Amino acid sequence: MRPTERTEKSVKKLRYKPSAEVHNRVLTNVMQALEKREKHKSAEVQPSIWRIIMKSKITKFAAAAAIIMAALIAFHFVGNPFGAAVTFAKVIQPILNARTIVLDLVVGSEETGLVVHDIVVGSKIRRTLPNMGHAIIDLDNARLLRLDPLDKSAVYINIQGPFQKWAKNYLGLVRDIVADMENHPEWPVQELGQRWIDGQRAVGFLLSGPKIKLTIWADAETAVPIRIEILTGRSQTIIKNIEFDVPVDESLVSMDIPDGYTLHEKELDYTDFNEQDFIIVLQFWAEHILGGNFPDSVSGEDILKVAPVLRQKIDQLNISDEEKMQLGMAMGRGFMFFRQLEMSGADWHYVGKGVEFGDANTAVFLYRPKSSANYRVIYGDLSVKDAAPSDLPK
Amino acid sequence: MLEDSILVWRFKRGSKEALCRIYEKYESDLLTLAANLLSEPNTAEDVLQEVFVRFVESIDKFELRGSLKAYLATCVANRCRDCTRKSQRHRTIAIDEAAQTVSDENTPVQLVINSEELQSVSRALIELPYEQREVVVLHLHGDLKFKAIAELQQVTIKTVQSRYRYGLNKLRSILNGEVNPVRKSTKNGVATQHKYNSKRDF
Repeated sequence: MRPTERTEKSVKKLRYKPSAEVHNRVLTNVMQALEKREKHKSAEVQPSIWRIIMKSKITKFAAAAAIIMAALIAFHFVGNPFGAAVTFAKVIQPILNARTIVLDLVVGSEETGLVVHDIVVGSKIRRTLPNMGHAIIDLDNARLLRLDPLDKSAVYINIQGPFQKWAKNYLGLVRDIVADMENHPEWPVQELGQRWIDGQRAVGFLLSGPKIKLTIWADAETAVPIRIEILTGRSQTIIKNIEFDVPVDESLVSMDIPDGYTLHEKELDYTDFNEQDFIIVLQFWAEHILGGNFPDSVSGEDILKVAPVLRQKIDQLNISDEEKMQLGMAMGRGFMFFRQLEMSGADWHYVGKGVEFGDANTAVFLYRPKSSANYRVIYGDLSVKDAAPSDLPK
Repeated sequence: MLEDSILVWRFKRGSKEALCRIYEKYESDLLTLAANLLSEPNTAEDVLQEVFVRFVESIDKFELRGSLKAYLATCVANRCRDCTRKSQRHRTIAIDEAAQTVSDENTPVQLVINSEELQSVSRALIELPYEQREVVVLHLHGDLKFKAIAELQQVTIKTVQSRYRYGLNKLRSILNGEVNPVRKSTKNGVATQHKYNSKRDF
C-alpha cells in the first residue's frame, strides 16, 4: 500500500458516532422544527411528482408520445422473432433469409393478450399497437418515426440507450443469437412431436436456455415456422400469423414524412431507466387510475393495456406540457425498467394485489438486481428496502 | 440515490417518517464530517442540528439535483466554516482538550473506534490548515468529488487537488513525527506542545 493510501485509510477510520442522548435530542429538535414549519405553512402545496424526474431534452411534444414510444420500443426486448434463431437450421432458415416478414405478436396469454402487428422489411419494422397508433423503426440507424393521423404530427426520434445497443442490426442480431446457441451445446432442443395449429400439421421444438424457453412450431412439410412461443420468466409472448417474403409496399416502412404532417424531431433518452422510474409508474397507476389501490397484476400485457389510459390521465392533469412530458418520459423509462427485468429472466415478484397506496408495511414489488445477493423490496408507501432472501416479506 | 429521491419526495409530501429516515441514514456520516472539520468535535452536534433544521425549513424550495448526501455534506461544510471563523476569534478550547473529550466514552460525540492511533490522527488533522483539512475530510468522508469541493471553496480543481496532496503529505509527516506542530494550544492557561508517536508508519 502506498503511503498516501495508508494516510487516506487512517483518516477514513476517523468515524464518529452520536451518543444515544445526542441522537434523540437532535432528532427531536429536527422534528419540532418540522411541526413548527407545518403550523406556519399557509397552504398545502402538493409537490408535483415530476420534480423528482430528471430533466430531459424534450420540451414540447406531449407526454402521450413518450409513453407510446416506450411501449413501442419496449417490444424490442421481445418483439422480433429473435427467439426463432435456434440451432435446428432448417426451421430458422426462413427467419434468417426472408427479406420481409409479417407477423402478429401476442403479449401475454393468447386469450387476453394484446396483439401487436409487425411488418418487417430488412432492418425496418412497421409496428402497430392497438389504441396507440404505429411507428416505423429503423433498427440499423436506431431511429424511430411515429405518425399520428389524428393531429397529423410526425416525430423522429433518435433513440439512445439499450435499444441502440441491442438492436442495431436485425439480421446481424439474429445471427449472433444462432452463433451463441451453437456455442452452448448444453442448451437442449427437445422435439415436441406433431400438433394441429390453425389447420396446419405442425412439428414442435422446445429450446431451453438458462433464461428462456422457446417453442417453435413449424409446418410439418415445409419446415416454415408458423408459431413461436417465448417464455422468459413468467412473461409469455406468442408470434403467430407469420408470413415470410410476402410482397410489402415499401412505403409502409418509409422513414419519410408524408405530406400534410408536421414534423418534430426529438431525442428520446432511455439510457438511465431505473427502479425510481418504475416506482413512478406504480404510483401513478395506483393513485390516478385505481383510486388508491395497486393493480392486481403487473406484466408486459398489463403495462401495454394501461399505457393508453396513463396517457389520457396525464393529459388531464393540471400541469404544464413540460411537466407532462417529464412525467411521460419517466413512465416510459419505468416501462423499460420493468420490461428489462421481465425479459432478462430476473427474479422478480409483484405482490401488490389488494395493497393500498401508502401502506408502509406491505410489499408491492420485489426483485433481485443483477449480481446482487439481496432483493430490493418496494412497499406500498413506495419506500424501498434491501432484504436478504431469508428476510423477504411473506 | 434512488431511495433518496423517493425519501425527499415523500418528505415534501409531509412524511415525517421519510425525514426520520433521511436523518438516520446520514446522521453518522454528517456527524463524522463535522467532527473532523471542527477543532471541537462536540460542537458537531450543533452543526448537525442546524443543517437538518434548515433542510426542514427550506424543503418546499428544495430540489434534489444530485446526491442528497453531497448536498447535506456541503451544508455541513459551510456551517463548519462559519463555526471555525467564530472560534478563531473566540478560541477558548484547547486542541488537546478537544481531542481528549472525543476519547471519553461519556462524551456526546465519540469515535467509533477509539484507539490511541486514531486519536493521534484526529489531533494531526486539526493541525492542517483549514482549507486543506476541508478538502481531505470532504473528499474522504463526504464522498465529494474535487470538482464539487472546488465549487464550494471557489477555487480551481487543481488548487483543490494540491490542497488534498499537501494535506495528506503534512498529515503523514506529523504522524511520522517528522514535523512538530507549529500551533500551540493552551490547557489550563499553560502552553503545551503536542506529542506524537515518532516514526509511526502512516
